[in-house]
Amino acid sequence: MATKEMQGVSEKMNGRLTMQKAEENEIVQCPYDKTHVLLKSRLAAHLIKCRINYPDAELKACPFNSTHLLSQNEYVAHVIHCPDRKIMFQYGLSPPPAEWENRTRHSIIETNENWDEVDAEDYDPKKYLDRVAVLRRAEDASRSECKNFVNNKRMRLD
Amino acid sequence: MSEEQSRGRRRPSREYHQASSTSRRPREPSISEEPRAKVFRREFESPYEKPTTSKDSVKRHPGGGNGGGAGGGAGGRKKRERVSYEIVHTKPTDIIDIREHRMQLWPGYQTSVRQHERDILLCAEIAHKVMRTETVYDILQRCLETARDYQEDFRRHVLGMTVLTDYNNKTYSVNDIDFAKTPKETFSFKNQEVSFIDYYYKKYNIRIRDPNQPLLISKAKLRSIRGGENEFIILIPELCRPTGLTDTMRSNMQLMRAMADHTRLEPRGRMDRLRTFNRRLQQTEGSVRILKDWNMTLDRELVELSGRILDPQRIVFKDHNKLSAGDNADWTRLFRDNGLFTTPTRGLERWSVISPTRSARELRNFVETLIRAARGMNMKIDRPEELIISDDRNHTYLQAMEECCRRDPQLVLCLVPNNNAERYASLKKKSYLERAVPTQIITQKSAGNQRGLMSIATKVAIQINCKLGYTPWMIDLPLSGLMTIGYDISKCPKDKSKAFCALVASMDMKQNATFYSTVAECTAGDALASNLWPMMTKALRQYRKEHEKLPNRILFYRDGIGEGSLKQVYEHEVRDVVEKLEAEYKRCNAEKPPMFAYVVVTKSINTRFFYGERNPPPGTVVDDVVTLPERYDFFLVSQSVRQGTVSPTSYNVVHSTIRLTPDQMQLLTYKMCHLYYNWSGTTRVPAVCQYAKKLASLVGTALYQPPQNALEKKLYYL
Repeated sequence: MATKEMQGVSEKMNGRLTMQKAEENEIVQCPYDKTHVLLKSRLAAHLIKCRINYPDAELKACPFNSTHLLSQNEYVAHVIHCPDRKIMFQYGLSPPPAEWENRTRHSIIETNENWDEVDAEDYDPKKYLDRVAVLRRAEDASRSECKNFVNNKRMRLD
Repeated sequence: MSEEQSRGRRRPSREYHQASSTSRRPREPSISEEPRAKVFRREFESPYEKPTTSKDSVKRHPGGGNGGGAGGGAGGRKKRERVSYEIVHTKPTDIIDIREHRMQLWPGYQTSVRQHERDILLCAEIAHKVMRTETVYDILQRCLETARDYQEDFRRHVLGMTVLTDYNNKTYSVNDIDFAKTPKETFSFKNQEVSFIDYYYKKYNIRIRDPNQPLLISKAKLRSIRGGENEFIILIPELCRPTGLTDTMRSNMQLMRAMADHTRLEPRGRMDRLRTFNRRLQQTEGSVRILKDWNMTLDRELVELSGRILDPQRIVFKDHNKLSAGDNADWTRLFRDNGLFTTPTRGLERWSVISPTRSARELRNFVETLIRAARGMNMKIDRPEELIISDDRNHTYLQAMEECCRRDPQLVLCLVPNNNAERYASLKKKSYLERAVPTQIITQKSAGNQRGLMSIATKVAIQINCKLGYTPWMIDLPLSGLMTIGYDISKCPKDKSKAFCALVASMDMKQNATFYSTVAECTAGDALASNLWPMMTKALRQYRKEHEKLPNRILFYRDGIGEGSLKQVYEHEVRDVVEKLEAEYKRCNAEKPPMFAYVVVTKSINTRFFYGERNPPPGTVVDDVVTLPERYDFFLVSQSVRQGTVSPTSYNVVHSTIRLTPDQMQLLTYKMCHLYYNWSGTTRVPAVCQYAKKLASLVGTALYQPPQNALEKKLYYL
């Protein structure tokens, strides 16, 4: 008897939980595979993983939102109607009267040093890692690569 | 922000994970457990303790080293690579009682062991867990007394809270309340029907006093379900104690101050506590055995390392007058003798003030002082148009604002009786969404403050200068053609499904000291930014409008990312932006793509540094020993604190084609911390990130919509 009541509670709770989720986040389809259905907030993370499995899909990212991936023929139509277009083209009043726009520029601030011509090499941590014997984790790669990495490490550090 | 972190707030995912491993259904026929010492974890920052390896280890000598340590070590090394979190028991004697606020603080430590630049280090940090001494039943009583609809009120208080049950020392998170059931209900236990009251009496010898209270329901985590537990756990309010701080507690100043007395440790106190922890580790049998198994020893002292202290930077005032910021990176006193760097050429000539009749006198006094303060800083402010309203209702204010805006003022100043958030929000909405007029809102308390009026007026004058789009001070930058961008996300507290992301970009700081700010709505719960490119395009366009060419170098500071998302950020954001930048520059016929660096800024770290037994001075940079070998990263202490221990900020350069040496990157970052105009000192993160945070939180709490385009050149959100 108690368990049946418990089930009733669990259904009610599940209903409430899912309803909450749906209000907060829409469900979207993955552009790589229409069968992947997920919450909008998880889409960006999912795309990273799915991209590896579909290297041939030639999808171009929308300039307004990098999770909008489109094929060549859909691209132009999407860009005109993208819902995120408003980031660039929204809420414009007529520009303020010219007298307002006092130039906020000032003459160049002189400094002793000048780094404009500096063309140093960027620090590359990978080069350091190859040199020094420290413990490392394999970058997220496939299992076989990880195994190779661990075996090499034994050789490297011994 | 205060250093103590309540369980519910910071790093919820880890806390959750912790709870799941310890929670169990109370109904389960169980093996009896003897009471453990109370345990919990926290994180906080701490210096590292270095485990020294035995002489056989090869870890430190790449060339040679005997094979002795390698055999046993190699297998273990893989395990050691992972960051592990350990729980340390608190002795019951260490618990701190704060009786007048009905809570206790349990001090403890959070640790992690990781391979750093040279050696494996143990990072330990002190953290306190907040335990309230009242029970959930007491909360229910309070709701019954005060609210009309006690069920709603109780629900609001309790849902989502983590509670601890004393009898088995486990924490659960409350998902629902069942008002229909009481402890008299029965459930099946060992094929018998037992009521909750009887069960608790028989098993733990606890008598439940109120047989008519509702029951709390907690949904078990997937792990325990897989382990054979049932999905739902029923709890009795009388036996549950809430943990963590609520928002009301956070806004209770006395409570926070009482807590801060215990949790905010001076450097010496912190070092002592950590040494005590070290001693405990050295002496506890369990840890000694583990260390021996891995053939490692733990050093007794905190890791000593050498860092660099950057010189105090020079602040540029009016007429390019350069003065040093001082060793404490605080230049408030310099305003007395120096003018603001740029001010409107004709001053603030067309502006209005709104005030209710009863504050009219304070208003006039304040405006007088304001004009005087501004004159001292070489900024001209004319007399405003006054609009006195008869009462202080929201509606009256809005009407007055509408009338003022019709005359197209440069700024509107409103005197309000108190800090009422709703009024603030509606005033800001009116001026930033419907119109594009910067507003300054002052409470009556500040305007009427006799003693500090001149300093308040000075700060307000600086703010007004910024809101008009001008600059109070600048730093000297040896690099031209540089654009610095900061990005942050802020969630809407009211509407959990929305979040706002803001991007603030500087112009070429050698010639133009303005910032361009833009904000957009994004999906809540998503740490990755998909709207970077349109916002960056707007900033690039503005730069080109000002300087007639695109920037040579772009330095991007990204805030708001936890460590787990680093790889995703690289794949999703960095790749995308780099590709699009190249395409855009090619389209604009620039000779080559910009030199671009993407830096992830993290404030919530466990590392702390000590200089002697004191706080390190602002400008301390550490990029060896405690940084990670696989990253191009550094720690910077940019702010100076008067109380407690200073928390450094971690900067991780995820992508860099900027072709500057690491020294120059660090110096640039430090310089960027001097440009937050609401504070005449250095900030913890670069100013562009701080601006982005302020803007995103303003839009998230008051505006709920991106404001007018015309405001984008001004720092209207300060």
